[in-house]
Amino acid sequence: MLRFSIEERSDWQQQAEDYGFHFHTMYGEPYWDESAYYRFTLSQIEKDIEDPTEEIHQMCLHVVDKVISNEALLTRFGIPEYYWDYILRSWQRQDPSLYSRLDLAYSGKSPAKLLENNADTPTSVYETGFWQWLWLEQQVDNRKLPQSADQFNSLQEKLIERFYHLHKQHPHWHLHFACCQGSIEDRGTVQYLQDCAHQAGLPTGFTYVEDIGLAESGEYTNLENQPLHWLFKLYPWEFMFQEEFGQSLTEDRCRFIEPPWKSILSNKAILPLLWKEFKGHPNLLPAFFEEDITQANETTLVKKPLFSREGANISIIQNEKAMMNTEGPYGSEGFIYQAYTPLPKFGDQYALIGSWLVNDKAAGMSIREDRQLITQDMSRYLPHIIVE
Amino acid sequence: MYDLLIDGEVMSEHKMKRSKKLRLDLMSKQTAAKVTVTPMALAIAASLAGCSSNEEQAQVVKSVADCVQNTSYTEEQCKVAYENALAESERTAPKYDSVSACESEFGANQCHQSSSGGWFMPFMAGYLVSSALDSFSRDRHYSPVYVYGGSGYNNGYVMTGNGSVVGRPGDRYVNVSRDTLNKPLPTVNRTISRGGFGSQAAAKSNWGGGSRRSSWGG
Repeated sequence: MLRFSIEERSDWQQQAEDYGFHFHTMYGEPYWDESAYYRFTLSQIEKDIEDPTEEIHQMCLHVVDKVISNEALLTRFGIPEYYWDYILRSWQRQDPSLYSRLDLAYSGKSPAKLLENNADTPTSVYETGFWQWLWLEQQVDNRKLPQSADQFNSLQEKLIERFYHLHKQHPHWHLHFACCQGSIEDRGTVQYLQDCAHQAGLPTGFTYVEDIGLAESGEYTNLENQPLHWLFKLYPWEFMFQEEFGQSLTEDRCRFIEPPWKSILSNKAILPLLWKEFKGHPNLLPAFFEEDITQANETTLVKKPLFSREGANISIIQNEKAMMNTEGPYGSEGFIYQAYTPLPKFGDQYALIGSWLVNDKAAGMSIREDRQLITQDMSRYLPHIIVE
Repeated sequence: MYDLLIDGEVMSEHKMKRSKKLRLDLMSKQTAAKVTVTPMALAIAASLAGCSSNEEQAQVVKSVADCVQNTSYTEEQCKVAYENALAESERTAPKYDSVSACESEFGANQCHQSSSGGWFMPFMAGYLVSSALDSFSRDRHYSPVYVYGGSGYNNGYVMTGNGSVVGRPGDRYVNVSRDTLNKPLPTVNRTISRGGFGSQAAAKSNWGGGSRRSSWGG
């Protein structure tokens, strides 16, 4: 794993406009950064990222199966009792999943370590599946990269296959896509997934989360009063469980992607349970619930809220003192502690690997870079290549 | 390393780790500039383009008198079929919050308030009777039809409650799918409230002035 500088494509901003990639720069700061790229060997990708990703996913599913009907654990996960049966039903029905992203600490020299599992609302899917793919193709054409350069990235292909499969399972269902108002990034992400579904032949629609209505029948509706029976939501389950319309979820008039059981998979409380079940696994870090913190031998721990997004409310604690923390609106639902592992540093940049799954298949990789040790929402996205 | 031909596609024997080919032409999107089409017009466009082999002929019956004159039903049977269709219309017709929203699709004076009150729907222009199953049954389903763009009988379309076009005004016989004839449509309900999702995002985006919030994903 090496970091190389490279000349940017002269017209990439124009192309970004043409392709509707409107969030390459946010709040005056670059987000997409092609002034450099990371290089991996095929063996690093296959042995250190791809295989462990699928294995970690299976371990996570194993833990979900333990939690899903265990009241004490569901309580520890901060999930309201009202939704326990609802979540269990979605698991027993095997409601299909679309995708996930595992965040990994990986330096190219030792096994990748799971930091967290973004299984409910993963973003940067467009930048990964399409935009960095296009970058590679064009930089090879420009002779800036060798002809043999490859990329760990079958994400778009696998998403379209997955949508095709879902369409065959439910040939008469329409899939509506939803995200919040006011985020260009989320709107772009959802548009991309809708495009993928469309390419797979699936009939689609879009509605903003805030515009969803509730009908007399208990069905959710779009602004045109059409019932929504199948909804992709780029909106966290733990938010929905707290909101006014959450109550009517349990009537099961609408199926969701990601499905309700992902509220367990994406919860950071899964990290201590993974460690309990698979203690010593090379891709796991020791992790503990707050009440078991005395079991930790590590001098440096990372304190994470159960439901944090984009690096908010995270502290790094050394010898019981916070040496670094990020602010944010999360944490009221409780915290877990995870052994600290440094992210690899290239120059003055820390790099974080995102490893993607479509259903249960490893599907590609993304890299975020930040000058800060805790990767947040303003970190930059860099492309990667595979060269032998 | 050499190329293999599988299913008409050239595949490299060395397995690539990335997508083989992406459809660039399908990727150009100007999200902000998307045209919005009213759903009924959209559904009509879709059903005009569609064509099904699973079709049968049906008679468009406009009234009890039309039924008595042009079907094998008795007057009593015609009344029952009409009442059935009317009840079905009350349940499944497209519904609107205002009379003007309804009239913008179905034409001036073509809408009425639903009998449950509160919202507006087009008048039933008639109902469908299968030509193949011309015998009366009290339990049979009679699909109501409406005239979309209904100012005058020369323009507009005859559609069922879900916006599927079956013919033009004045058509006595139309070809429709078996589902249209036999399957009741889902109940169209009035949306009683909106905005019940999204409050957590709104509350959390106020944190820190909301200036850096870029995504609710992660």
